[in-house]
Amino acid sequence: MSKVLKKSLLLSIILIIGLVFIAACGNTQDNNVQEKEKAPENKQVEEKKEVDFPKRNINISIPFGAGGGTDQVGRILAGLAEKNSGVNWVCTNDIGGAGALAMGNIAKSTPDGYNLLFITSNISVLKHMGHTELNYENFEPIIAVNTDPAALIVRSDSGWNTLEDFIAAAKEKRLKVQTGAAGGLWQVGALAMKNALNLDLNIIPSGTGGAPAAPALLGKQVDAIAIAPNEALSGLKTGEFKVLVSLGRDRSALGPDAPTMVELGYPDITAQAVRAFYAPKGTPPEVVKKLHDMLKAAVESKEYPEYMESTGSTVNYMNTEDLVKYLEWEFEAYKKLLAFAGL
Amino acid sequence: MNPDILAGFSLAFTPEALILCLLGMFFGIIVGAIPGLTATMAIAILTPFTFSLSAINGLMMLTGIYIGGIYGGSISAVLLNIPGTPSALMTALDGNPMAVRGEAGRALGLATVSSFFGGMFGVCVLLTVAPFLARFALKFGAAEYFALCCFGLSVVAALSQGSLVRGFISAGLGLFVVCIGMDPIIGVPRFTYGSQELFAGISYIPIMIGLFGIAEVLTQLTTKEMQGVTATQKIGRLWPTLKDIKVIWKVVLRSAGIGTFIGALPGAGGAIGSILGYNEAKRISKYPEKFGTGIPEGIAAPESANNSAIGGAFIPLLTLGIPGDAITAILIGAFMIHNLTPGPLLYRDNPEIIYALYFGLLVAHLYLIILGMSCAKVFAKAITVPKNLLMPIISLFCIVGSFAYANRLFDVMVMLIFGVIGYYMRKNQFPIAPMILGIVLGPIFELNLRIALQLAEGDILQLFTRPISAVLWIILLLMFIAPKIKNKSLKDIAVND
Repeated sequence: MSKVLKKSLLLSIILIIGLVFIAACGNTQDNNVQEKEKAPENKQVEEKKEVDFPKRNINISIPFGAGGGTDQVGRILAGLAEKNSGVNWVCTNDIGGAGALAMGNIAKSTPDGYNLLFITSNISVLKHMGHTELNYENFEPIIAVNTDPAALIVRSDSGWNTLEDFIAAAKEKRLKVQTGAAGGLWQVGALAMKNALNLDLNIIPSGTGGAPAAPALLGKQVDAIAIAPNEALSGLKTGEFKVLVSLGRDRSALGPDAPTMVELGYPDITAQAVRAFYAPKGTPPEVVKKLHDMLKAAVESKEYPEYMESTGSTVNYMNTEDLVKYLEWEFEAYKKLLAFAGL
Repeated sequence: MNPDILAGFSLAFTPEALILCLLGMFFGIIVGAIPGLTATMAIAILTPFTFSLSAINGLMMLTGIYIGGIYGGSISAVLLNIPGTPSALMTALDGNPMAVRGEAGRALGLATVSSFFGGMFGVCVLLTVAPFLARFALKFGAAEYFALCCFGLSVVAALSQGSLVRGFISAGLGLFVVCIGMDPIIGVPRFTYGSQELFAGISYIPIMIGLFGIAEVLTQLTTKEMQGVTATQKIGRLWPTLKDIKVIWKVVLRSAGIGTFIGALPGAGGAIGSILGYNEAKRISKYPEKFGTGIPEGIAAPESANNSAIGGAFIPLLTLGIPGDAITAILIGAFMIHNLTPGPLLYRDNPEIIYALYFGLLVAHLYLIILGMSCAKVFAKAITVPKNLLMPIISLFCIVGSFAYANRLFDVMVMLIFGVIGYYMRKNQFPIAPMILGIVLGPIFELNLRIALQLAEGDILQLFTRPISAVLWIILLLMFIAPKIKNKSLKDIAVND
């Protein structure tokens, strides 16, 4: 017994030491924070270097899974930006906490422009939900590249042509409305809409994002879905589905006849996801500008708008200044929206 | 002949398309064989690179990766007892004992041949009854998925060799571990104790790598064999004998049927397909007690099921524009970049692309058997590597694989911790497979139960009274009761005699 036992004991000890070691490695990010504090001293040096930024690979942290909508848009833009920058743009998927994990990592990283975050409007929701202490103010916003609004979508054979028809039906019977992930923007928007319209709806979340909602609507498991129209692209293109109302600031490209909630007189009911690039707080403005210009060139390329159109998404470019203004509005707007949703 | 079929043929059978498909498959097999690197990841990363190719060339390459990746997972499952992908989980149960016995070649050969026939079955179903099956699959709501998960969890009984109690403890542990993180319905933290890392959740890939990989390394380290310099094993013959084929053909067909259908469901994929395929093979077998000891049926059933799920997953994608699993979800992007929207419109507007894809799938399966067999030979040599070299290499792969999944050092720690847990579980005869089952099925089990209850406004009866779920529950009940009745009536006869 003794020999085997000793061995396994020894092994366990080695593994535990290994764990401690790894845990220690994890702290290097804290070291970066210290470096960050030192950063201002180096500012002059960095200004001189500005001309030859970027000198090495740029890392983009994507907080969602490989192959999802945000991942695809991020990778396409990274690929296009690579062409006119001379360095590699490397995308990594830092998945967890609906984006809170990646936000934490990038906020702590060295503010030299080589570590970027590509995230949706979750950046304006997570702090209100208490999932992170961070919001846009802890970052240097660079550029916004696309907007996807949520929308209320029904089957065309439902007989509902306008929001009024839907409201009338909902007053007769408790309707089932499936939406995106729990605590995500689509669910928040759906709950806020329900409360604003004073309806009694059964709002059901999906496991991951809005994609599982489309088959549920097609299979008549639910009466309506509240997700981004591009997540129900095939149904909308064949005419099996239709958009009743858009929750974006603008109408949806896939349902141009459907009004927005704002048009209908509910200015506080906006749920739209803006995807944008962010650098850690303290990144030199020259570097931010350089990054903005490189990414703007990618947004204005031939391929990017083509891809966005084919997936039913909308290109929505905002420069750094406009993005900051928008984020100020968005952060407050989603606070109201969450209050409306009762979350 | 239909001109669209001809156009599709000429699109698929160009030298570039054929070579890209072969390259994709080679890459897929390697990625699939490395634990932690999944076919999903490989396709997600390579999809943007295919955008510069023509639509069909890109799709042929991605199809190659997809099929290769699903197959590749079985190689490490058989040779090292570490499933390279979640869908190869069940293959390890019989594949590895067979390889350990000195018949690694036979195990790999069986896996390849079953994958080939299973995959071909899936494609044939796709070619013939796709629209009908896709419409039927849409009738599956949360209640039906919940019933399917119960089917899956009932497999725990089949996996607990010896002690049922230990099996249930193991499965319960797995179900508990996946509760850590964010609640899927109301979005609040569970068991996180304020830790941001725990809030982000524990994903099943690092756990699986730890429980199988590191636990295997630890077990090997503490056995006497390790102290010898080499552990040379025979590879044996690769191609299955006629006798083997005779034994497995029924299992392959039945599993392929199960796998294709599960693959066609938008909420379930190859992993569940292979679990159910294995269970069904064991249930129907005349010698269920031999499963887990390294018998051909135990390899054929899950391998046929997980590869047939590929054809299945294409069914809702092509006919309805709804992905059948995580990989087809990414493939939608590959279609769209070329302005093709998968779904009924694609059949109307670009039928040649659909036919070309069909040809692509068929070609890829031919590659599978050629490349699979020749790769198997090379890979099989892995276990003739001295163990004092092999084990460090495996440890390295485990660390890299668990880190690569989500770029989290935390996952490496999770992997190591579960490696130690797995080691002690093995030492104390707790089966590991039920725990993995709990981890893989747990999240969908919980999510669908809760969504189903919310859809039914809390009326539990509706879980069982919807027509399809009622049928599923009756089958499940029969599976449990039937063996007992059979035994009892046999006893009665004996008494009467």
